[in-house]
Amino acid sequence: MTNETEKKILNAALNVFAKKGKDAATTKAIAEQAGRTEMTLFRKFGTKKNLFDMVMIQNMKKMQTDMETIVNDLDNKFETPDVFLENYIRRIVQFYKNNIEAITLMINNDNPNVDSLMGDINNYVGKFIKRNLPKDSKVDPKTLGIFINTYIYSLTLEVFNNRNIQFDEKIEGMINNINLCF
Amino acid sequence: MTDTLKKTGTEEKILDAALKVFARKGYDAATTRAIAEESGFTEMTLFRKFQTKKNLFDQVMNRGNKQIEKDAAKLFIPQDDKNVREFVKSFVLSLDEFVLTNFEYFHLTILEDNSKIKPNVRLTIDYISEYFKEHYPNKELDYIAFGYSMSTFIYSLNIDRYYRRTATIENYDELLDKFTDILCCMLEN
Repeated sequence: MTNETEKKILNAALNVFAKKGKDAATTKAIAEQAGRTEMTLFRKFGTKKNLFDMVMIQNMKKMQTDMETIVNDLDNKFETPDVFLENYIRRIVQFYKNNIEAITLMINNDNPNVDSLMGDINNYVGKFIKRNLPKDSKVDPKTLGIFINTYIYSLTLEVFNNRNIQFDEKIEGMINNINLCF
Repeated sequence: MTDTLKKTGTEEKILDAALKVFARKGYDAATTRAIAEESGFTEMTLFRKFQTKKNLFDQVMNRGNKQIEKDAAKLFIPQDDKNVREFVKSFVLSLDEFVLTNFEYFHLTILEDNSKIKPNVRLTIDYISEYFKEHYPNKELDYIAFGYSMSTFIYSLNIDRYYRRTATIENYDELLDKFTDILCCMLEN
């Protein structure tokens, strides 16, 4: 288990890495935000590179757990595809809001582990959506999953960067549009 | 005349290099030194031409804006009579080509741009909605969400291409085909 100091540093690091980018983020800024000295940071994590890796590992685990929770809560619980999709999209919105810093770090960096992880997530989501759509649906479940995720990712990132993009209206619009397929 | 051409050549090369480095590293981490190196000129030349990193970034975005405007015009040329699927598929392919060609501008607009003026990347996305509304009016469809979701899908696939990830996009053509199916069933409902 990580102790309080490690937790504080990891949270600060996630925030600073996401805001400044991996290269421009300084250990000084991270230590400051964590309310600890840079020396403590180095004692706990060794190097900035190692700290970054720890942040990514911790958050990938968290995202995996979050995604599994969504699947467990929603799988085979709804009578019709439109009710399922509406519930699914609302949960995914929450997922992206909660994890946007880690997600944007993952996506917008050269990170060899990310490729297979994202492939796995897309396959997992695709299978889950497939189980909850009618057998004769014209819509490919995996593509629909990617379609939903990429849209919500981009919208959440815009909000994260303080841009006014009418998030709620755009989510409602998407739910409306997808339901036209069912 | 020769002097003007030479000047333009140097500036263009520095702008090309700056675009590449800004997109790869982010604004804060991109150094004028790395940009100068990439361009093959000295940092002194870079500062003589562009004064500050901020100004260089603005110039990169200005040039991108003009390029986007020019390329976007090609997206919206009038189509011959085609069925919905052919129309949508050919639009998806053109949009993908457009995003691929201008990916670094797209990426910087989404990740780094804080200007008050609406960049042409965003105006293009708005226009996609208008374009489909005009060609395929459907009272049930939310065209703003439609145009936006089309753009974010294509943009995200191109993020994977840019970072050379393949897991999601290994069957690229097939993915665009299935994506077209989704768009069509929304339009044709």
